[in-house]
Amino acid sequence: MGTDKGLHLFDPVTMKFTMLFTDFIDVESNPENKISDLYDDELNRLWVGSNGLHYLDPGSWKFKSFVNDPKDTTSLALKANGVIVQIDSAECWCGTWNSNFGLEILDFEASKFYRGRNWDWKNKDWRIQPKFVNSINKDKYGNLWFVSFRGLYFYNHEQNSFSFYIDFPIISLTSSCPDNKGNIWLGSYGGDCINLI
Amino acid sequence: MAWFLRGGLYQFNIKSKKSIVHKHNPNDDKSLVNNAINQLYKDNHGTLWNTTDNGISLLKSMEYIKRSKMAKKERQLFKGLDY
Repeated sequence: MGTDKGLHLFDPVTMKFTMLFTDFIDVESNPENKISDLYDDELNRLWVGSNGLHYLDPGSWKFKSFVNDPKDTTSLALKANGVIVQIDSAECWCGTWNSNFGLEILDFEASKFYRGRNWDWKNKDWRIQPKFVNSINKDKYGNLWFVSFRGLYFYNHEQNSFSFYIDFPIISLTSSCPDNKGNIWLGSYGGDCINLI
Repeated sequence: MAWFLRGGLYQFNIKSKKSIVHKHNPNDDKSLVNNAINQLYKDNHGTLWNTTDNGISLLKSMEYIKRSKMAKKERQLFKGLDY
């Protein structure tokens, strides 16, 4: 379980936590080891979003990190922290809070990040996309749902394009969770949680 | 479309345009533990985990089956995974 004070292993039987080592995180820019997101992919790699993108290799039990390199324009964007993770085939979608781009895509094969409409990544339509991303989730149809403080964004996998789905100008959406029944659950830090069916 | 919400858990049906509201009730241990939600996660058993500013609520079959209040330093939970 990721928290604002490190990575913890939670035992649902005893309801107790064990803190795990997070020495892959740069303590200078993230002294409290804040974890923004976790994702386990089909290869059993545990992806960790923090001030950078990291994954735990299940074979070696070592972390590999993707962080910003000022000399490399294909690295994770400058000042990107609070990285949100979603894996889609050969791509890793990264949502960020303050990178000026909101969304970046890591091409696994090339180990390069793509961002913004000018990249024309696989002809994706970037005209509408969130600037600040709090969560990314995939529904059973392969479509992606993005939550920003402003509202809910939708990426249509078939049409390869973004759309602004619902505007929430007052409350601060923090999370979303599609289920297998066609629902999208939305969590709000303003004190609300909404279920769309 | 915009909703001005005042706290709790809203179940909104797009087709019927009707909603059901769930709220934290301090006198009910089976209610949502807190209305400020940091993350939602649905595990392989169909349980929705709500990580809030005051611990975790587990929602299964539209009932909160378990909740855990936490120490202040551990309240900011973000996401969990099950294997």
